[in-house]
Amino acid sequence: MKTYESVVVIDSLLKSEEIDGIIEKFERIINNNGGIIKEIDRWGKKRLAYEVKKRQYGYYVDIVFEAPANLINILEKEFGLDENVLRYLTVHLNKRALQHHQQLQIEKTEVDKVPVDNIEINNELENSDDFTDTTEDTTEIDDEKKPFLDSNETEEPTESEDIEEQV
Amino acid sequence: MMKKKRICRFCEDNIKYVDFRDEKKLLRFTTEQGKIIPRRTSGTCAKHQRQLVKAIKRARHLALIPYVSEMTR
Repeated sequence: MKTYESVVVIDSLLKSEEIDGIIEKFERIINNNGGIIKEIDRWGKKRLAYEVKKRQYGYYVDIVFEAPANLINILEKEFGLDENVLRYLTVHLNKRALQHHQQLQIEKTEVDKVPVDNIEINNELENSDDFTDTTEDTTEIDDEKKPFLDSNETEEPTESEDIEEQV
Repeated sequence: MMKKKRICRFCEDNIKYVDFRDEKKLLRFTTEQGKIIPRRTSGTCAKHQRQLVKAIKRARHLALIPYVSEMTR
């Protein structure tokens, strides 16, 4: 039994009950075929980076489960057949990935204590090691975004001026 | 633009697995157009670049990250 992770993007225009139904359907398939569900993480409605089947938003669900090898074929077939599934991705989790997931879960459960400590430690590291690097990057990102906004703003007025001159 | 010191960000932060679900982090390693930044400019080590590339391609498939950004489309 290996551990797998499936991320499924469901059409967000469906009613919440229908979305629940679809998720339950996949849960049932996993359970009926000898799989064990470890975690279901609903990211909720998110904006897609590009249109998929004319949809701008998708409902993301992340399922972590243990499964025998033949279950993956069945599950992927089911994802493909369901018209309300926009995208799906099933990944085998190796040792490192599993450690990473465990860490994330620990951070989730100990919301009060751990994150504060981590943030402090991270800040110290950044300050001590490469202070210049981090500051450069933040400015770079800002600069990248600003010129676009500025150029857009400047373009529009010039066009309108041209029109006025023509008139 | 070229940095004198080239240090792998992932090694620095002691990250062992590059997660395809973390779109904010992945976007930092792509250009405005959405292309993957090469190792020679970002300074990422070979081990992590391999993981990063895989993660970016997975995230693109799930529409977490654009293949081509809207600005250039």
